[in-house]
Amino acid sequence: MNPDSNATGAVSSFHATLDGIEHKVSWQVGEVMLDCMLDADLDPAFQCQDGHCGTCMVLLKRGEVQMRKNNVLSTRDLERGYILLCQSEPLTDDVSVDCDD
Amino acid sequence: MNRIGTLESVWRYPVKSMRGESVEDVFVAYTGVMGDRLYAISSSDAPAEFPWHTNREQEEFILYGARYRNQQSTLKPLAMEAAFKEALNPPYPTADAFALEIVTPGGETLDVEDPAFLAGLSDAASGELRLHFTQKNAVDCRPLSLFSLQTLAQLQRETAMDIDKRRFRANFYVDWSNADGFYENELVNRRLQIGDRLEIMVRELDPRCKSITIDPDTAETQPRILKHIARKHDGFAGVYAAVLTEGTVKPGDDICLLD
Repeated sequence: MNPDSNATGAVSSFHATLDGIEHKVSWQVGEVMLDCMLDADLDPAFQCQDGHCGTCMVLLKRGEVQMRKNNVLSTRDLERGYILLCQSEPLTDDVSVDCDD
Repeated sequence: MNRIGTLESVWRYPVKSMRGESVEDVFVAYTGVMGDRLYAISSSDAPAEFPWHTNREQEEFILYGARYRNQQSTLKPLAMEAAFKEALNPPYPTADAFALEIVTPGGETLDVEDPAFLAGLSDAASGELRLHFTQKNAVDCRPLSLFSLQTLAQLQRETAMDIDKRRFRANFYVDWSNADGFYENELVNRRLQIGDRLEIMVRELDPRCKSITIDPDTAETQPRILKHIARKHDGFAGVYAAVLTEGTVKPGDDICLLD
């Protein structure tokens, strides 16, 4: 993650691997990645949608995202590349997350 | 009475988020198991409504052990039997009865108030950490949590994982006599008697969070357990209960459905 990065405007999608299948998911400015996946009829794990339960933690494999808030992931989680789907917006057009990890 | 199961073990967690201990023949007050979560660590970085520093923000926190210096004085109030005879609620011991020592992951023993304890945690924590003591039990939602061995077995089957029951940090692990996993979900708003005197009411399902992903022996995380519970069981595993009548419990006690 790089909070100093700016959304380019060119970002319109991200990739998410769920149950072993990689999906290309449409994204619009202002949306968090979890909502985009639900809109696409995907079934990622989630619960509080408020950044504090950790159910939607997924591994960021590529690209950069910005999290609105994080009240559950540890420094170790962040260093290992975990992000919260319910709080994240892609900053680059190459974002790929693994929901199965 | 309708006997529905047996109490397999009773657990308390002297410091919130740290390693728990199983106990025998312990008093259960309206606030929960005696000695449960009397200590907690707060963080200046945490939200006001949940100010606690937990193993979610620092997984290794779960590897810290805690033991009361005078274990016996923390299991039952001194005048408990006399109080029960008069149908009174026994007075809780004073705070000094709950003097506590910490065993760090490195094996060092410290008094809970030794600044070295918080200093050791602060190395990996953000925000200023402070020690809190309360006799009200620093539980999240309800005085008691209950989790069945049948639910554990079902989760193990469904995930093909060897899941340690301690991940669920329950006060009571129970063994249902003739029921499948998640039977406790059906007991919401039902009254149970455990042992000779304790009466509880199951109040709600227990919504799970990142804490159950943490291995209690290694502090490594396995998010798949939490994700499975979210997708297959609506995020709930185990139940919370309130105490209606105080009493003592021990492993092997019958659990009876009162209504």
